[in-house]
Amino acid sequence: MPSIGDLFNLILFNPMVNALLLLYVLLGHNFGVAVIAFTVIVRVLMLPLTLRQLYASRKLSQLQPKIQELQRKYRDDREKLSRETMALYREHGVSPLGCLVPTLIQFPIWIGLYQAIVFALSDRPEGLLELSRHIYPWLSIVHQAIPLNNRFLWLDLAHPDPIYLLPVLVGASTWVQQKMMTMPSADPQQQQMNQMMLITMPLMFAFFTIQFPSGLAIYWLVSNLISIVIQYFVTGWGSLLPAASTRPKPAASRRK
Amino acid sequence: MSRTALVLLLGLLGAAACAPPGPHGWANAAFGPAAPGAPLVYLVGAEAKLFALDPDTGQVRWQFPPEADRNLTAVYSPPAVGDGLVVVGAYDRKVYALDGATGAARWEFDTGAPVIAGPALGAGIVVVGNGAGRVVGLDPASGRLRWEYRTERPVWARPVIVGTTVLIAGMDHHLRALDARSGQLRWQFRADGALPGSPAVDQELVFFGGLDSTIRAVGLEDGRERWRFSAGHWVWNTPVAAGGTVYVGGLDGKVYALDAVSGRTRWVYAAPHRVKADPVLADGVLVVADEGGQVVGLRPSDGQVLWGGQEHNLGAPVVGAVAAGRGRVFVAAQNYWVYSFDSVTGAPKWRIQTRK
Repeated sequence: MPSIGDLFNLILFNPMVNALLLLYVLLGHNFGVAVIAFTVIVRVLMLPLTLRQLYASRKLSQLQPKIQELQRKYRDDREKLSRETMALYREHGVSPLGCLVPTLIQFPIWIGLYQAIVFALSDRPEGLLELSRHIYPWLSIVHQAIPLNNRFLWLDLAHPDPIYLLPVLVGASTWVQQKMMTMPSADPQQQQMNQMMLITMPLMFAFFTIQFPSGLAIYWLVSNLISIVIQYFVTGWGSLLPAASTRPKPAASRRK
Repeated sequence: MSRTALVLLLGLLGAAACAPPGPHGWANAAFGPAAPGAPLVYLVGAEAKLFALDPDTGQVRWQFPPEADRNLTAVYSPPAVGDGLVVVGAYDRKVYALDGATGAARWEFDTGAPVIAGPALGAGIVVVGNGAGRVVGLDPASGRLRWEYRTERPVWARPVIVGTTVLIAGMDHHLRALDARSGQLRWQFRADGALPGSPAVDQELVFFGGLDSTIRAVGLEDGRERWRFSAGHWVWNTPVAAGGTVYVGGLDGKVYALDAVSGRTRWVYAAPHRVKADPVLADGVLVVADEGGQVVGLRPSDGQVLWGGQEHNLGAPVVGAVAAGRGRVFVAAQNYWVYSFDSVTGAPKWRIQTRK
């Protein structure tokens, strides 16, 4: 009986690491370009889920005034509040978990990609020996490419960025993305929470980018940039450019 | 997005927890004698310390570094033994030369980058490569640099010294023959994959395997390929060549016995797990240890299992070199246990744990 780890390797991790290595070989033995290409491919494949997540988030945000009204009305009756809130969600076809499920599905992809980068760029025998368990034996052009060239621009992709430019870019792009997603709220408590997340999340991601291999940071940065583009076509600039948000939105979001 | 960001952050932390630790090092065994009249077993433990053991009892005679709380960061290859010296390379970038009988430090040399490959000692020179592709030739008495040779990629394989020739297998896909006295290049051969394992030499032929899953034979004098054999996966250990046959294990879990002259298959043994550890010929028995910790003794003529039962399952991976001497084989596992078996019958002799 295969374990969960075996299934994870078979269905997700092994295909990911082999795809990454194949891209490396096909794109001129450049691992930085391979990571960028891999990011684009993954985001394109995840586009339906990403769009569903964005539309669910937007719907949920639009219902906030009505939810707050219910909270005021039924503040002394938790059970009634819960029933009415769920009825409101049903009426508008919104699931409170709707914006979370697509993200959870991406979970194993993030873990797999992180491990793929770490093993593929390992400069230690343990890492290479572990990598040998996951490369398809019949993919000979990949075997012949090992060890990989881990240089890209000023970076050693197996190690963090020495000049800290990537953490700044990741932090900034995370902030832009989050700012675009944040919907204005009349609730002071919600406003405070939004403000806190707007500061905390970019800082935390920037901090982790300092710790992790720069190959992963490139994935993160490219993924953020793609998210910003998708976000723009769904909800426009959002809170990033409030004045621009009052102008007619792009066609894709108007249809929704 | 905040919920998303939190979830992603948790995912990244989870992934970070799954990241491979390291460097760790691999346990390897080597057999003396380093000093006349004092044959010892030299063990590089998985805890990155060098131990000298009595081959009859397993008693620890000395260890290096001697301090209990100090180690060499990580060591991946067995030490070189000879001329009264034990020489070991470590991930802390250094090569250490010790007195073989007492373990007293004689000299150390900083190579400038982590040392994965073990050193070679012979022809009046110590040769070792490092993770930056630098190959150095050192004076055995003083550790002074005599020559150096640069390659483009790391050198992970122990050099092999044959007469006045030093053979260097590199991760840049090249096998090179250098002059042992000057470090001058004599010839080089390009394989289709990286070469992390050391070559073996017999009857003027050099045998080696690589990450192109191919076992090759080239001429010792000219480096021209004589034959090649395709294995099922990477070949990452040092072959054993004797009596016209080459024995080598692969990460496909097979042990191949090939005719040394033609490369034709004599027999194939299917091990229970991948074979990374260097096999050894001891008293007419081919001893093989695999990544699952199973040790077997095979008959070299036909690959039949002579011994290798439950008592030879060590319960932990064996990825380093197996040593043999004085009728025994010595196997170090990654769980800090070292075992000694009779090489002919496989009868267990002793076992010790180097780290509690």
